[in-house]
Amino acid sequence: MLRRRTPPLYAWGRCLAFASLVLTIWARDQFTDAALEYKVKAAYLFNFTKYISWPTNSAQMTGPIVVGILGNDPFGDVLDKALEGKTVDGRSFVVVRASRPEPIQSASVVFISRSMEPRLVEVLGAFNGKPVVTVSDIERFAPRGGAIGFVIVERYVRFEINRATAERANLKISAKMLKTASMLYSDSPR
Amino acid sequence: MRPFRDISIQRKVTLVILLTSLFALVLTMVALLVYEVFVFEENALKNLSSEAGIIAVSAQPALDFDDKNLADEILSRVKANHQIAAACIYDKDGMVFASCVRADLGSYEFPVPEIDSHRFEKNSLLLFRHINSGSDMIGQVFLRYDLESPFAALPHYAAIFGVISLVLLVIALFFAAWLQRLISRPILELARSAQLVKDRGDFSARVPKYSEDECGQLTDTFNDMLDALQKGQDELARHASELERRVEERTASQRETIAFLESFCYTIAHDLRAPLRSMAGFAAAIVDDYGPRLDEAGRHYAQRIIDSAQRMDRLIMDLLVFGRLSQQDLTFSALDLNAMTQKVVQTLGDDIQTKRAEITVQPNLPEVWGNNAVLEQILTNLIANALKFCHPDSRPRIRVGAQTTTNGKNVRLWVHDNGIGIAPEHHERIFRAFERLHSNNEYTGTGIGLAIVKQGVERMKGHVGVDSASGQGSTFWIELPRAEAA
Repeated sequence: MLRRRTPPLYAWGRCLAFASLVLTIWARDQFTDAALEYKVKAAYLFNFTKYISWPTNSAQMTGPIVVGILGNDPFGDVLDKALEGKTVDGRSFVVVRASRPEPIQSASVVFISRSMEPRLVEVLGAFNGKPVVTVSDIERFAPRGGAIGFVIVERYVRFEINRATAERANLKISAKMLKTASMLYSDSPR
Repeated sequence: MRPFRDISIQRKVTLVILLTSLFALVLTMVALLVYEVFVFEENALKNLSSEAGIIAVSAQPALDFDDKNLADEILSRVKANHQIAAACIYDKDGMVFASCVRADLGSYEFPVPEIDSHRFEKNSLLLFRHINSGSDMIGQVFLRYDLESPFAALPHYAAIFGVISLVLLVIALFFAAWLQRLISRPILELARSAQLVKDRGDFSARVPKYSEDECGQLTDTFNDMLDALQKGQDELARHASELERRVEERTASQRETIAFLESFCYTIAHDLRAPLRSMAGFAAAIVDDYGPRLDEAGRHYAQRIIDSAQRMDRLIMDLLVFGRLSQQDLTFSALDLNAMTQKVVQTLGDDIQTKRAEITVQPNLPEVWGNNAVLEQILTNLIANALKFCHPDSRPRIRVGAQTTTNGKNVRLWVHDNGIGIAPEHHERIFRAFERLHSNNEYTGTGIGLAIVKQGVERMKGHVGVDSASGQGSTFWIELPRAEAA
């Protein structure tokens, strides 16, 4: 990341694109912010599974933990890499991508891409009452009925929880996680 | 500077381009380096802050959920940067939550966290950065960054410099080749033309003009100068031919005048002799036929008439010879001095006997290149003079000789006598016509003899001279081209 690691390139850069130094740093920051953002979100997704408990007899409690991605995948391979080799209570992870809610009804966590925003009501309806943790970075996702919504607060990735949605889905969210959330909603969507 | 001054303009152009570019390059490099030194710490801080920011953002979920594995994973990214010696993440109580230390450092005692500060310490930069969760600080990031000397990049700069210099050299050469058409060629062309004009003296040459710059002006000036020179030369040629024509005209008219005068003189001299001969003849007739009837005085007078007439006849004869010498066309041949001297001595035989003179002629005289009649006349005059100008009561002793001069091209013929000699101040005079040193009573003569000698010798491209002192005898000499050399 730091250019000093490669001095010849660094020197060339200084010699040939000296004037555009500021520009390149700016461009790099923009790029890394976007990549970094989803790395952090992937790390959160993993940690959510540790602090949420699903109903004991549900499909979500058997086999590997399934993480679904609905719509256009913004993670690329970041999520796969973040979950690779990780286990929670001896269960490994599987990432499933889908364009409709139906194939991933039994996933533990479903990340709803921003591309699904126009169909958000329909999608949330499909998961309503099911023990699936819906997560998304769609704006005002939690107040609109999603379980966990990512928000950006001063460059930091934070998350909000809609407790009503979680309760309807029979999900138990640990106290620590509730404490960590930047905002808690308990009312149903209007 | 001297060697630079003497190299060709093409090389100069190349060199100037190369040196200028190199100079600019060196300046740029130095400026970059200076800049690098100045912004060095600032850059380090900027880079490190950016790194710390990334770690802080990434570490959030780890701190949120006490995920030490994730924290270690996040910190491990700094391993890729060798200059980061140590990094750690503190929890919200300021305890080290996760850490990463470069292998060569062994163990590292992490400092007490200082919120969002940095300081430079022993070639390293220490930086703290807080990690936020909403409004609460949930932890901090610490990074220790080893500063590399800003001059560490110097070899890279040198390498870049070398490569660019090489490229520049090639570009400069191409550039020079192009510029050469623009700058050097007109000058070289001019120089070549100037050389041509100088070598051939051909002022009609013109230099083609390539541009309207100083070179073009120089070309114009040079061409104008050639114009002026050519005009001058033409003028000069016209003047010369004009002069030549005039000289020819004048020479022709002069020659005409001279020819007229000469023929006039010749005619006069010739016609003068006829009455003289009759005067002398009749005076002689008076002495012969009426001698007994005349008294002593009468006979003396008649004899005086005869003598005067004879002297006048000799004078006229000499004048005729002198005149002829100056206008006659002479034919040259190899002349045998031995035979000629013998003949002259024979001709003067009566006189020699009368004066009881003793003449010694050197044997084996060399041959000379000249006109037979003229040289005979000269020799006769010289020997006759030697006989004539001697003390009245002594015997003339005359020696004649000749030898090749030291340069081998001429023959010096000399006639030595033991006569009265000639004072040095008169040596020049005696060769002029009608110049006489003595009265006619002392030594008879016309005063033309030596003038004839001088004229004759000069017509034969020779020299004449005399070595003598008063009362010590004289040596007259003439120098003529040697027969073999001519």
